[in-house]
Amino acid sequence: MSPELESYGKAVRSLRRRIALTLVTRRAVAAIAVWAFLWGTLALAGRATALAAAPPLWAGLILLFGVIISVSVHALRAVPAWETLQAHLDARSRAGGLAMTGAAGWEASLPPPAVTRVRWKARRAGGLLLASLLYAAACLLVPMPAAASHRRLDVQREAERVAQDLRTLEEEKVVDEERASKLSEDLAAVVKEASGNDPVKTWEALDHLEQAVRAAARQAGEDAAAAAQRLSRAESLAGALAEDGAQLSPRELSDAMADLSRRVKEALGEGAESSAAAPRTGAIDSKELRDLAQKLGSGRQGKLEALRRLSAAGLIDGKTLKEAERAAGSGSSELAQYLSEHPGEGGEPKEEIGGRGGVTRGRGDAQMTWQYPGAEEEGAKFQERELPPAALAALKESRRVGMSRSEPEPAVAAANGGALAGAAAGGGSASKQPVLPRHRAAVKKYFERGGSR
Amino acid sequence: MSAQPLLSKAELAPAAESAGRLLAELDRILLGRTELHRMVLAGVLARGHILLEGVPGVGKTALVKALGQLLDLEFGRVQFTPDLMPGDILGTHILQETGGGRREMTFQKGPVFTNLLLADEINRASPKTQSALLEAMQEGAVTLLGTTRELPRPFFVLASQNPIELEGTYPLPEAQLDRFLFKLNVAGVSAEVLEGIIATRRRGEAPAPSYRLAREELPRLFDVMDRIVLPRPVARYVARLVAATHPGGREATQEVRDYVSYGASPRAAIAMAESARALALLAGRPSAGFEDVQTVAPAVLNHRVLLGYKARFDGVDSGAIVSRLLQSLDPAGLELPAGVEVV
Repeated sequence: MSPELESYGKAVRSLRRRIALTLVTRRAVAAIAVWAFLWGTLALAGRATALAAAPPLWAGLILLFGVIISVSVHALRAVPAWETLQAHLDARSRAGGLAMTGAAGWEASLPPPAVTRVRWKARRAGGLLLASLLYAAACLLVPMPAAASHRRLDVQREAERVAQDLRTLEEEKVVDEERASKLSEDLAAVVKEASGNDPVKTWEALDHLEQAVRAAARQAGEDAAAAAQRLSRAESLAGALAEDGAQLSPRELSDAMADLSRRVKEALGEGAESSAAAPRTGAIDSKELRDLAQKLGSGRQGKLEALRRLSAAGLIDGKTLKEAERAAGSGSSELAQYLSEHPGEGGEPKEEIGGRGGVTRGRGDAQMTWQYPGAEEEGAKFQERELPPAALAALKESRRVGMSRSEPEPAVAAANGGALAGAAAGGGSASKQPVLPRHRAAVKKYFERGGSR
Repeated sequence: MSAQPLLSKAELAPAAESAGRLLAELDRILLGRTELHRMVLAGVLARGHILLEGVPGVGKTALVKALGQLLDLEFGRVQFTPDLMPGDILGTHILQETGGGRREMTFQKGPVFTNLLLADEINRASPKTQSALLEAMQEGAVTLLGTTRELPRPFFVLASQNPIELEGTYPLPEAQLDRFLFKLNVAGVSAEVLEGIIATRRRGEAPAPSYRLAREELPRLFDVMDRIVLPRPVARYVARLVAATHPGGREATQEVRDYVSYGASPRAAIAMAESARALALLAGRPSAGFEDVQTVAPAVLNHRVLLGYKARFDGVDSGAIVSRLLQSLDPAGLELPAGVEVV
């Protein structure tokens, strides 16, 4: 091919490429403009109605990319054919048809190809594109408080409060690290999924979490109060033994030391540390007992301090704290009373002594005791025994006929058919008020007086 | 690419040189009308008839006479008048006595039996007489009393008409107009040209031609012209142009839709293609291009586009419509979307 014809070939290729680029750009701009308008409208509708969330931007961009590919392919089909562009260059160059006919033998007569420029009047398309993009941006960014509240539920403040409680519990070792982490994750999930479309679900979840935290705090408070009380009692016993242990007989002292050991174990809980802290039953001097009492007092104060912090954080109420403080401080007074009532006998705490009965002499139940200590460890058991059949049958055939506040009088009650015998009913009333025997005379007198009126 | 091979330079050069010399001689004889001469010569090479329109005294007759002298062809002239009869042009049978005393009808040829006929002021004759030229112009033959007589080859009609003085004239019918390859407007010349005429010509007489094309050379010119290649895109452009002159055409302009009653005939397309080839020959090219078509299009289409009454009211002529059509129609037919163009 001659250089002249080759230059025409290059010019045609270049023109074809530029036309293709222009057409693709033109279509792409139109597609982007339409996309931006539709996307903005969709986003605006989604935000305004809250019926559906606004479609994600990445999905729209993928859709836009597909549309651009599609319109590009369509635009490339509209690029004029090679022969048409060759004819155009022939006309523009005033080649007199030589460029179209190949100019075999006439290459020297071919004028140089005309310089062409592809022009696209893009002002209108550019304006439309700009307007549509601005519209889409406005649809995405315009503030819509009403719509936002419909869509999102702001529970940040409540969640922060629960998280603060949770942190307090974690710092006070009320909940272990694993459970705290689990609760934190649950809380974060609730905040993330909080939706205005279903606020009840979110509030219920938050309430559940808060209740779980509160329950843990309450349980911890009760445990701490009980532990403080046990520590207080053990502390009081240790202190008392240190002061007055010499007055006890060896057997009483041994029992007291065993009791003290048991109480310390209960107060400190199971474990190696508590076992080490527990006193040995046997030889122990008063100094060791005072040290033990001091340690127990420190532990009690620590428990109380923890309870106060929980109370300050609002996790337990003031009543629980006061009861715990009262329980923690009651050990010494009870022991002092016990010791004053049983001088030289040693003994057990008052509430564990049963079987005395009566209104003023303590509880009537008696503790089931064995003849000698350690019988239960040796496998001794109480023997089960059935009641005699006659007595059981009498109970089964018995029938309640009435109730009275005072002690019944069997003979009179049997003769009159019960406490309600002879009771007068109100005239025609559906509710019948039984008249007790001691009121019977006053009621009778009242009705008799009414007949004289 | 066209399947038809291009003429070589050796084949084309003699014909192009002869045509060029003819053109140069015409320019020498008649001053200041180079473009008109080129179109007239293109019409002759395309073997078409030409209608020259212009006011009196602008050199229409002188041009035809000079052309007849340069081509070394038989030249005949008919002055069309209102009382001119067809027989006055075509010829007539007369009763003639033979040598043996017998009398018989013999045919007396009219002035149409020539190679180059100047029909001067053709629109002054009646339609009946004007129509007498229809067969001669299209078929190159004359039929009288059932006998068809061939006209000498080549046969050209170069008619002139006066656009003013319309009183007592008969506008050419459309069928007659369509038979003219070109309708050329012969306008006045510039002052510089007039000065040259006055200074170099006594009584305005044209100088004698210094070159004559031999009678046998003209057919060779025609042969070469027939081998001028018309590329397919150019042929398509010609077809689109003609189609666009019709109000219902796909690429018709708004002016065409508004003012044109009837568009150009297929004969116009043929005339445009042939005359484009002739222009290529005059330019010394083996192929016709878009610019050749654009050059001949006004002369081919002007008299073939029939305007409606609205055009007359608005003062729009066919030249303006064709000119607008040529501007709006992309030669190569790129068909780019709106707003995109190649400049």
